[in-house]
Amino acid sequence: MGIFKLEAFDEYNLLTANTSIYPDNGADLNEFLAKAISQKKKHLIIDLSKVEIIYSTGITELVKANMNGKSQGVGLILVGVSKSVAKVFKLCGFERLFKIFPTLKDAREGIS
Amino acid sequence: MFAIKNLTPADLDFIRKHLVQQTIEKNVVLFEAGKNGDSMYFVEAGTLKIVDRRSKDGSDDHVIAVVKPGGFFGEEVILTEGGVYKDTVVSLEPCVLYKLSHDCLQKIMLESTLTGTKLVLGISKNYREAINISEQHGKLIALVSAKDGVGKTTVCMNLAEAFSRRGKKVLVIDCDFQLGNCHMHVASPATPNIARLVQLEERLTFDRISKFIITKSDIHVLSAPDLPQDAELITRSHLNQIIQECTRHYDFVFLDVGCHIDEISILFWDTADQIIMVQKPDLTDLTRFKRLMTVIKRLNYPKEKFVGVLNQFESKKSGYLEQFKSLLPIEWLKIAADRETVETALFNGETIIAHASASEMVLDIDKLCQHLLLEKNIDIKEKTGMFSWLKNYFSGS
Repeated sequence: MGIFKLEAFDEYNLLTANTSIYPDNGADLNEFLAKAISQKKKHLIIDLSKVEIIYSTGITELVKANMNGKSQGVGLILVGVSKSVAKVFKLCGFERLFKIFPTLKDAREGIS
Repeated sequence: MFAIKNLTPADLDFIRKHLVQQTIEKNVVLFEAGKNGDSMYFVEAGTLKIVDRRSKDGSDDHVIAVVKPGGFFGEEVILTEGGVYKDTVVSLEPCVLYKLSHDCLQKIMLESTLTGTKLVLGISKNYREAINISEQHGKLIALVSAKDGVGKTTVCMNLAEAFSRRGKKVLVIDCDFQLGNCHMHVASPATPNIARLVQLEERLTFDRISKFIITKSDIHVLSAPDLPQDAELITRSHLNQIIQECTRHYDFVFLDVGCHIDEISILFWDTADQIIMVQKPDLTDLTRFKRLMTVIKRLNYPKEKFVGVLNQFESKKSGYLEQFKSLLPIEWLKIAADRETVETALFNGETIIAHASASEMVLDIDKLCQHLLLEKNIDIKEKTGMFSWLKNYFSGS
């Protein structure tokens, strides 16, 4: 199983992170995010439910992708954000940059 | 200029344009604890001290940290709601500072979200690390002494054996990074070790860490480096990751902590659920323990966090027990002196429990093990200390 998995659905792409995002995953995450955004679906849902820890590299890639996505009409949505990751986002004020839904189901309902 | 990773020279120039330079003279109180504010500071030149001010004139200041050029302070008012400074900051010499206010940060974020993100991630590093170490599962027990040669490693390794014989999954991390020798107790060379781990593995997940753990019977050891100079390779961030991963996979993680006071030792004291103070009944140990306690008392750990162990105890030295009790009024357990058994066991690469299971020393270690396993003793919720303060401060508790 790869660290990241990208799946295409009608209205959105779904990028799932299968483990915590460590410094050496930054390049992989960047590649997957760029690929997903280039497909220009209206939404890119990022499932972080298996992510217990996210390092600054991962956060920076998400912020970069959010900016790229906006410029190309792709909205990033985070789902399954764990308590510790949510704390990091709140601490840095990044929760205001992203749309965050508790679960994938909520996100699907939210965009439909 | 700033001790923040990942900022390019262009990022630095961009950030600097938004900051306000401020010059202050020696002995100026820049801000006081409890006061509201909206700015943090980066030090360009000069030195400042962060203090816990106990009297108005500062005569009883307790220095928490010293900030040098490249460092920063006051980030709590940027990162947390309410904007209240936690400590008082006083200049030790004339200083040149750069001031970053909430408004400046917002402007930076608006003009370049990416540079702003890097800046925010840099100033929040300590807080983020504290958040990451908060989700532990197994218990973390640090063995601390005021002096080398008191038998701390022997107690540590034998406790580990006693715990594993009770069905607990136990790991010993040799945290005396320059001269640690836990590996000798399991008859192994100091390879693999923690320095090789942090050098070879970029991602410190448990599956990677486990490749560097020495196993003998049921005792697992993450050895100290085989070369003292390799201690430099191990950072606080590495240790946070290793401790976090290991406490998820072991019931008990023992830290055999080197007997000096530095940032890394304080990290171990703070993150430990319990601290076992291993001392020897003699005058030098008593005086050094007294000095160590002047530091530890300032960290406001709850008394329940400590267990005292008077190692190499002989009845003719029982007077020392009261002396140690007066310095740290907690329960002190004794471990009988048995130099010959210790040395023979070490030569055989065995623990004393494996070598001489009926000895008085083993019975004492067993008592200590039972004491530690009592639930009331191991369920220490309030840890306090510097890193715990960061966690509590952020969570608003």
